[in-house]
Amino acid sequence: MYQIALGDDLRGFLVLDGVLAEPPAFKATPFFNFSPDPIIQETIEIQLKGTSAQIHQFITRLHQIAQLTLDYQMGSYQSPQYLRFQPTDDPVYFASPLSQVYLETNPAGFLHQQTGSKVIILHYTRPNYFEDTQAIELPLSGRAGADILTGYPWINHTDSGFFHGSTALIKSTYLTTHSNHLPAPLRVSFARSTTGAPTFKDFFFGLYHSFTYASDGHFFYYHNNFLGGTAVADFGAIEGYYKTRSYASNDWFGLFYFILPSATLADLQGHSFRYFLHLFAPHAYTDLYMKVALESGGVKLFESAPVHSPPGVGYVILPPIELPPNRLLWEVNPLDLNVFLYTYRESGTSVTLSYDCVTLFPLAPAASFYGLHNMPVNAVLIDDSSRQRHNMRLNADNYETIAHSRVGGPLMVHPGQSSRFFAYVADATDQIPIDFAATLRLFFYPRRQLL
Amino acid sequence: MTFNIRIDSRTFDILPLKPFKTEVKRLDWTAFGGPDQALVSAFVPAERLLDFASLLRCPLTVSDHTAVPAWWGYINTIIIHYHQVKFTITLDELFNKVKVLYTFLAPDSFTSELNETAFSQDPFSQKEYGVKERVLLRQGIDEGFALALRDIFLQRSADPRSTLAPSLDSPDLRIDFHCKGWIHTLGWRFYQDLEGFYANHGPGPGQVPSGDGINHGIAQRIFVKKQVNLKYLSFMVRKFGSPASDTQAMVWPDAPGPAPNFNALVSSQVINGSSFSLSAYNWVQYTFSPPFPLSANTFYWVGFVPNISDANNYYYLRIDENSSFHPVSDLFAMRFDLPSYTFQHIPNLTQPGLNPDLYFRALCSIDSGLLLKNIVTATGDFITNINTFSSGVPALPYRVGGLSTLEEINTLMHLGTANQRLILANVDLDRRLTFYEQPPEDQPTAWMDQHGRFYDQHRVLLPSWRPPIGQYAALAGADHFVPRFDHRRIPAYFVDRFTYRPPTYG
Repeated sequence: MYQIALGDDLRGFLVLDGVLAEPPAFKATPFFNFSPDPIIQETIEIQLKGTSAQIHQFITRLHQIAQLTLDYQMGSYQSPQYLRFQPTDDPVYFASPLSQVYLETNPAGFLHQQTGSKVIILHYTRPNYFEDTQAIELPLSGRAGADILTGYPWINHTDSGFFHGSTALIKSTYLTTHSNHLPAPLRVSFARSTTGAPTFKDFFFGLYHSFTYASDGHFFYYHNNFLGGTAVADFGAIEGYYKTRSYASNDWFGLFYFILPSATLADLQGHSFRYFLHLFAPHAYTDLYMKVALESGGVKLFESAPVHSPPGVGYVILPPIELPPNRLLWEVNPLDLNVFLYTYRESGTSVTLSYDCVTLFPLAPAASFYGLHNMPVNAVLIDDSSRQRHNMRLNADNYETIAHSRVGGPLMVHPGQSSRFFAYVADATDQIPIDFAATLRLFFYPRRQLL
Repeated sequence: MTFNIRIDSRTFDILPLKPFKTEVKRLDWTAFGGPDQALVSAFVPAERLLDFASLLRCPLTVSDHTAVPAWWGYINTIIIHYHQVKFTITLDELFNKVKVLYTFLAPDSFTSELNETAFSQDPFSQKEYGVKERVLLRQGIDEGFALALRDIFLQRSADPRSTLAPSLDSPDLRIDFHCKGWIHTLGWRFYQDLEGFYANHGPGPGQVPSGDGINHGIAQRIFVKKQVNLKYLSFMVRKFGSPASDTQAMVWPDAPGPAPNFNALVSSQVINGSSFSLSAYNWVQYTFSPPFPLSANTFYWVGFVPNISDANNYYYLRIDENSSFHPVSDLFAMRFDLPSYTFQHIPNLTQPGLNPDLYFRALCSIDSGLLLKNIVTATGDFITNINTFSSGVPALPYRVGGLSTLEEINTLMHLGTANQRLILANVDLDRRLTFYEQPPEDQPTAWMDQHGRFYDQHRVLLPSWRPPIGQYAALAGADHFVPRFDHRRIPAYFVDRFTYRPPTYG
């Protein structure tokens, strides 16, 4: 090991062992606890050799680090305290944030300090991984080009139009470099590039992992896929057309469906998605509900819980569906599925709906950001799943503030699999304007359990 | 976590107490009043233990390490642990304003009507602790017994009740303060309001025709003391012959005008008289929609009017020739004489000279938000200010159910608003009571992460002693959840009650 240190970037690291170690630091021996538990308790034995004053000063610094872990938990200090390892002389560090830090010495330790030596045992609790302390930017590929660094041009819909892509692919090769052994947290930088008055308010992010499927065609369905309704050409619609349908019913009504062929289902591998319906024009009904059903050969295999489709809202996110549903043996390809959208109006009076796109939006992992205030031009949304914090910067380098309520777990990428990042943005009037544009950058923190 | 405890005097002045060590054991909050209950222990030298027995009903405030108040209320019970003895002193059984509600035995050995004594009061106790009422209910006793019972009960309960018992608890010298939020003081008094329900059920003989070609409508004079909204009017009616006319209830000013409707202020919905009974008097209820506002301190006439007069097919209304409705006042029934189109007295056949009353019921309502304010204003001795809002839900102001103010407001808070949401309440540090509407379920304003910690909308961690009471909270760390669309599948959790128990060390 090239170096072992304790501390953080704000107040600096205290080197315990290796290069740049200064007296009284002499030798440090970590006693790792190998366990499947997500949080583990460990100790590190720190041997000190130096003057009594040097030893006192060193112990004071250790106590400061213990106190800073408490301060961080209370929110009164900005950074966790890390136990950091530098395996080689490359400037690559792996660190683990600490909590519940306390010191112990051998019972006769007080006798030895005057003679210039002391053994300190540092107890701590940490998550069961070590993480690169620097986020590494990932090249992104998609409708706008391949392997783009420092800013992928994202737009708020995906169709056959030039550069029209709301997703970006992280190729699996980039996730296996940098000694990444474990699912690793993502850092998202989402900078608004649309100018003018439109407001960016709510954000929906999701990630789809696959060993085999790296394209995006399976996730988007348009007018030519929808069975049910009349197609109407419109430049403002996704893929240039929307479908409209009117009916009156006192019961659930099958508005339209699309077919998921066997080969598509084989690629989707039983993952869970949310049926994300984009309405070409919002409706005004206060009593409209929707649910999604998976049918095969006229048999309903799954039916979701109903959701309320609020008036004036330009999209509906239906409950999760597993594609294909339930657990299969996967020895042969799955059977085709029809994905139905059912609607129900409590009053039974007539309904007219117009819709242009359904997205199968991945949800494990996924995160929704509900805006407390709108994102201005040039502002950047930062979501750091390593630190589990998110913020908005009014420009790329300044003026950080909290701007959203975040719902969802950490966004993680998996080594060996490609990851496709999905995003949609809703404005302050709950529409998803398809021309919203942003510059997307994704970073990750490589993780490993064994150093 | 270190909390600071402040105890003031019963008169809300600063109380110079010598420093003592305290430990907060439990803090409770509720969405229906804010701070609810608390348990705080104090550790003092043995010679000072009894000094703390005098702190009953003193205000107690718990502040966090930043000196921001987290819980407030009053000391309701004090338990002193003195070696193997436990001394308890409490306000629970203290009552300093007592009356007895009783039935007595009539000469035929059946219980007769309900009587009540006047309140007996202990001014000294009331000055020290505040007014705390108790109504005793007894059956089959006479007035003398009731008065004696009242006086002995007051004598025995005007001071705090104490108990002394051996204790197997730890031998620490400690004092436990069991505290309650100020909302609980609304349970100390009973609320009664006789306004908003005006009725005469007799007893008394008599009937008067209406719509018979002589008498047009029949009306009763009432006096309204507080502004209310008339919602229902009922009369005892039967038909004679086969009348098919439409009937209505109407309200007139104190000086009704000329025919045809005598300048009615408002008319109820229409009921066709063909449905009335021929053989029996039944209560017929007319609805005013929307309810009609009646002004405070104003006389009105309320009555029954058919739209056709027919000498062979008409209606009879029950009247009370005993004039039981305010017998000594000028509140009585009159008739609209059809040939002369004038307002005439109704003849009294059994007691000539006495003006009969109608058998009638007038049921009024006011907005439940306003009613909440009226109730607390009348009885909330410790509440310094009341903020309320219009709930959109009408409620009957007439209250004689023998319920305490706290029980009355709890009933109204659970009656909710026109938006089908509960009414919530909070008493702040300055004892100002605010009623407000429960927030909508589909817009959670608090979040709980996977570690069970609450956050506000701005992702600010809420300390455990500042829970999001009265708010909807949702899970923040779950991938399969989208709040706007999942509030039926995964409903947000309403934080109606929260208990904080600080961790103990050692």
